[in-house]
Amino acid sequence: MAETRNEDLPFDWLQRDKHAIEGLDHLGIEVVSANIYGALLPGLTNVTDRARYYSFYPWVLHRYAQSAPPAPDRKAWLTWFRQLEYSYAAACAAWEMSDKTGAHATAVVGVDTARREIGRARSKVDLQALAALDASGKIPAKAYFKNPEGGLGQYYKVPLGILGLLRKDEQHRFPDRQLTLYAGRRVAESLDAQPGFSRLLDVAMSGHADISDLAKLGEKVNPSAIVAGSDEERLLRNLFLGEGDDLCQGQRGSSRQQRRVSLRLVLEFIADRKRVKGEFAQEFRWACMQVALAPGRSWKLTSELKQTALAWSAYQRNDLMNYALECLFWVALRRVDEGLFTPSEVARYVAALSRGSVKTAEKHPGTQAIGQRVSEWVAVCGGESAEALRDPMAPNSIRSWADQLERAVTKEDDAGVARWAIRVCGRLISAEESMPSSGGGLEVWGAVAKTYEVHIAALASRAARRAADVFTTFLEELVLEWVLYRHLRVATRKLAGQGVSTFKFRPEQGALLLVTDKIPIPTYTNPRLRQAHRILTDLHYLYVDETGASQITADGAAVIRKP
Amino acid sequence: VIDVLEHLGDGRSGADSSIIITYELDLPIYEGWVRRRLSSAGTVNQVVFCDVSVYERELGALSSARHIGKSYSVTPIRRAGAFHPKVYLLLGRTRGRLLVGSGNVTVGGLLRNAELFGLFDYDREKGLGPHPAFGVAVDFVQNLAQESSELVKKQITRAVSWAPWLREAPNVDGRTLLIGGEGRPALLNQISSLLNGKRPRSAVVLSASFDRRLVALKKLAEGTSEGRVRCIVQASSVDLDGKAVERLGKTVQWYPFVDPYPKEKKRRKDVRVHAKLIALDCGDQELVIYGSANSSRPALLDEDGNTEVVVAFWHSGPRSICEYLGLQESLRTARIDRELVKKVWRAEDDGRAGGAHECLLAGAVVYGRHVDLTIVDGEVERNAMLAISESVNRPPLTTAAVHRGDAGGFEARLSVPPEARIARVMSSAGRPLSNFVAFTWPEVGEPRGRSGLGSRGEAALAAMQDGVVLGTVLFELLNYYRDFEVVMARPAGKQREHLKAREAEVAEVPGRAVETFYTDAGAEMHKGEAWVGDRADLDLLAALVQPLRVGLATRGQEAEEEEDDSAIEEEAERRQIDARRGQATGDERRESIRFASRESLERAVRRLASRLTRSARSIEDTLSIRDKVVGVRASSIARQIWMTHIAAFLGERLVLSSENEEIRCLDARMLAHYVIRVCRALSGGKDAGVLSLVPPETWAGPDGEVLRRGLAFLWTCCLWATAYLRQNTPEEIGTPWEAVPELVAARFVAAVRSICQAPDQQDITRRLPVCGDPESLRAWGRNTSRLADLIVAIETKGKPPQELTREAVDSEPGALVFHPSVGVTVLVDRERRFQGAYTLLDLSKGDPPFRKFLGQVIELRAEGWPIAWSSHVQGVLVPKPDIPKKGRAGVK
Repeated sequence: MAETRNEDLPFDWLQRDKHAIEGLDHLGIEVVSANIYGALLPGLTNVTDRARYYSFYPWVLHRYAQSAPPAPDRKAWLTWFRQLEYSYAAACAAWEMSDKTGAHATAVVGVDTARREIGRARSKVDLQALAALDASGKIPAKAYFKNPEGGLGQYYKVPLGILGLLRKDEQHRFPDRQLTLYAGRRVAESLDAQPGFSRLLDVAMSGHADISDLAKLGEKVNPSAIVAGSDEERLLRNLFLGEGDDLCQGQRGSSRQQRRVSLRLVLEFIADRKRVKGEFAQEFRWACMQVALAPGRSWKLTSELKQTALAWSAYQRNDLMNYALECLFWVALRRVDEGLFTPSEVARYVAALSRGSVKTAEKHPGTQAIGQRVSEWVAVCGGESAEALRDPMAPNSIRSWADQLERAVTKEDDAGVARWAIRVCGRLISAEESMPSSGGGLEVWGAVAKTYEVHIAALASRAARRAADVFTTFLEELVLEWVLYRHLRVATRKLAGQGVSTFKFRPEQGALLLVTDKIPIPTYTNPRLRQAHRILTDLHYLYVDETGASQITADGAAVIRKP
Repeated sequence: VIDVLEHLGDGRSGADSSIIITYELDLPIYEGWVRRRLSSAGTVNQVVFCDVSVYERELGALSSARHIGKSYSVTPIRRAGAFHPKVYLLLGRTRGRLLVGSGNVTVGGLLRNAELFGLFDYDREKGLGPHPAFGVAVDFVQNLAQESSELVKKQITRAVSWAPWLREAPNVDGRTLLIGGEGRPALLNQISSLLNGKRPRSAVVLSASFDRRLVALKKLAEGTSEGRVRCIVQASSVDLDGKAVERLGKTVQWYPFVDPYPKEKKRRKDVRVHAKLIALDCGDQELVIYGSANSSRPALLDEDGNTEVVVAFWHSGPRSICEYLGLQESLRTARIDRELVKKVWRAEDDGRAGGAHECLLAGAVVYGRHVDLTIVDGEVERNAMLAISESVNRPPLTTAAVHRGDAGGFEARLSVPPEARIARVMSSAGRPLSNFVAFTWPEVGEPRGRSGLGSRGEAALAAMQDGVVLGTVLFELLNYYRDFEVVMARPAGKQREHLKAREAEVAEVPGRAVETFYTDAGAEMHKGEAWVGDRADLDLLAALVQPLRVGLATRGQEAEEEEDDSAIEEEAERRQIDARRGQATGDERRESIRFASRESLERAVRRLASRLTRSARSIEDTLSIRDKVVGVRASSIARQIWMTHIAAFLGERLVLSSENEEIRCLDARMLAHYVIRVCRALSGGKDAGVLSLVPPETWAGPDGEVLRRGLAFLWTCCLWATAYLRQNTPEEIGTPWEAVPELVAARFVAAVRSICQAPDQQDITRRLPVCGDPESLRAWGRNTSRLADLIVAIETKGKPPQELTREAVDSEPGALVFHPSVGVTVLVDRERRFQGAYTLLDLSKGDPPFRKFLGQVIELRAEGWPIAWSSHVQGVLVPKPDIPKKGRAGVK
């Protein structure tokens, strides 16, 4: 037998995972919720916080087009863009740091760097160094923002397209978007008419500015400074609310309509509640789910708004189910961390744990130990609708049960988590039976239900099919298929599709091994409501008083009154 | 390091078949990852063997295995010991790959654990025979096939028959594949025989598992002159009996495993040391053994013990094997003998439940209203029933009597309900007689070809029209290649020029007209953005598949694969920003789930090139056997045209990776090569090409109309390729055709212009963006047509007109010539030996495409001829003396 030469050995260690990340949506259910809210609030995203960027970016592009002669290459565009965007951030930061009442630069792209730089500077601020590209056209390490096209590339490009302000350049030139004449250019020109923005352009092109000048400029141009009654305000309002066929010709009919109704529903909710304290998004979601505003007050809505409220209800029910299943996943992972168990053993453990009783301030059959059959479980957990009307926050309302579940997670009470998760699921299944249709007529719901395996309607249908099954067997299978194997499948899909490893456990010789140091905490999704609220505030439809409560303005009330 | 999945799925192996032999099989991992990687690399015939006990356990995860028995087969194997190999065998027509190691098909085995693997590669082009390990592995597989269903036997037979190189004389390299198990000598005896009487001084062992009494370790130590073994283990996970450790005393010195993996990646709480290694120190040499065998009695000593596959080789050199693998650190660390003495043997059940049944059900194949059963290793009692269920935990949906079929095997007659997934044999009293087995369907034995169209081909063909052709192609690709990898990248702006070149030109480019920054396009002009925004136009698949996917699939077995995580992207971004209390750096979307990494894109680029090469080769192969082919189906030609459409669309297209780096999808030269090869094979030479094999009646029907349109597009591509290859010095030619694109194009035009009227240049900048200005192709079109006219006129008459000819005595290579046997062609070489033989290119011939003639060669005067080519090209073109083979290129 010949021998091998050293350094040329035909065997080696296995290449181990290169891209292990924490990841999210480990059961692949949050994505269903995200699809639903995406269809309900098109044109906004979870990272498009300010209305003014819907006019600022078109203006930047417009100014670039009008600069003579605009260079046709990527580097020229990015240099122009970045300098202007960073100057805007610096102006907003300087204004915020001037300590004037109400001055803040929330959700301004690049403001963290700008704050630091202004904090360090004595009087003048360099507006070029941190915005410039390096010699090879790449973004240097210390740049104000990593995305070459700043906040436009990172957050706003797609939403601006959905609102019909920008269109993709079919000729693949730089910049890769064109301004629409009917919306984008009009909005851009509304900023042209404001002296603050002309000054901003001058400052940006000069490459440096005095902090005091920047602060004055920031006061005029910051995202909260959309002038009431201005062209900019009128155009943005109409774009968001889908008013005006000419202005909105770049919007798809369905998305224009759906955003309009969702935003009106938000305004309606705040108007009906008079003052909304606490977290607006949270209050709105629950109100939609229970179609109830406050104890004893059902929420009376026009049929159009009611349909949209029901669609939001479907979103909320799905998201709640996701939360409950993520809770079961959390319990399962904690069990895996305790020793070597097979998937079936883990599922059995979770099922056994969940059957026990729970306590609430008032008696409810659902709080007792769960009976033998699936049908019994669903029946005892039901009974929401009348109760919700009586008091949406009553001890046995679904909201209270969900709160109990969250508290159990916080307290790391595994039994409590399993028990409340199962009861929330039981309540959801029971509610599903009484809902007119899962999506409230929302088109996306049909598509989602066809595409995704796990969603609220599928859970209800599974329970209905197996109504006569033994509850623990049903739950064991649910945990096996929709939690444990589902995670493996979702993580494998991400590994195959994206090359990232998000496994939280893995089977090894039949037993499960915990892969992660950090067991993921169950979460709800963010349905763009925070952003909707802020944008409506920027456009003076809402205002937030000194106590943090939201109220509607006269203009906002007028929108609701409109037929 | 060895990236097993990369080796399985990189497409360069050109494997049609994969045969994986593993102890543990994690079904979600195989389905979701391994199978997909294999499929996307074109591996259509997938076979898996695994241990029956693990198989039964894994059936609990059947809900995650929607393709089992449909796109791959799994056969459980029962042995007295564990069926423990880890072998990954890929077989292609001209290439093969064999990976042998310690990693099972599990997350741990392929992704997380410390595992050792070795690689064997075969490539016919290298001119060396396959390593003997291939033969040994294939024999092993064929033995396993005896215990499998007829369907699996068929898969194996196909795999082997598709790899004719397996029969070539082997090429040894010092490595030996050893197999231990039932009916074979004990593995340690096989290893000892490799020592040729040498007595090792000492041994180093890395093992994950041992027998309770440590008999194997003791035996290994006894075989050394020092009488000792240094054993590296992971103390936290290894199962040892402390008393046995104590009893062996200094015979075995125990060391902790210190992970040699890069330190920053070591903090993995789940890492298991699962590698197996024995290094026998024989002084100036070491005998190294790696593979599936632990240092345990069932693995090394028992003749009827575990089935194991290992590789043994002699190693010498300045660094020992332990140094090479980074295990020196383990051996330098303080010993853990005392710690291990405290260990208590976990006398657990080894979970080999499958071994307990009276018989082994190795397969249940559903054929219409009956199920063929493969029952091996055991007796089936009378009145036995087949019980079929949805899953292992569910009660049977139905049962049917098991009886002997006509062919002597067992079968059960019943209709299998759609929700049924598994079956087992039971007594009439309901007592399980066999293990569970997942159903197999006949489709697994009839893998679609790499480019076969199957039953929907006709409909797709009918739908193939200009403008929608790409959508159709991709629809078909998705339909038939379920695992076609969707690589998402961002469009990288202007397509045809490389970034650097473009930036260099900037200074000379005039400013962009102001009006081009604006548009009045409304919503109807704007497609898909509501779903995926600017990402709708990513690369080939993203740009064109995504709209089809948005239509959303019907629920069913593919539902899982249709699930799209893109909508969760903004959630991820928001949460990152919130986690940093609102601070955003613009780096939050780096772990983008939609945009591929540079690595993925580069892999996709390689795969595309590999697909095009295979595609061109397949039509060239058809040409080379055209005498034996009765006819060629329209769909086969359409397949090439579809590939051309895809390639044309991607030519020089730049996409941005998730790291914002530009990647070119397909090099223009590669595209040009591909187009010229296809055109040459379609049109051939004087004796015609593949196109002539299309049955004449095809042209009268709807398929003919579709083909005409496709050929008209190919015509345009051919003109572009000719222009491209001529304008860019072809120093690196891969085929002779690239040296004479004009001749190929003229032949092609001569062949297709009776079928289609003119080249199709409609919307050509979108469909063939690399062509630039379509006007520039017109001159090439005219010249090519003139040459085509000349070829047709001369070959029709059988001789050239006098005024166009001159004696070829002084002709140089590159001259346009005529010979009655090959018609109009190119002089490739003029030999001064052999009485001045002329070497002519014959476009109808395969490899080599040359023919030699002593006379009757006439040079033709035509514009642009002779073609001048460099001496380098000439060197590549001119056949070496030993290339012409008897009967292929006879001198006349």
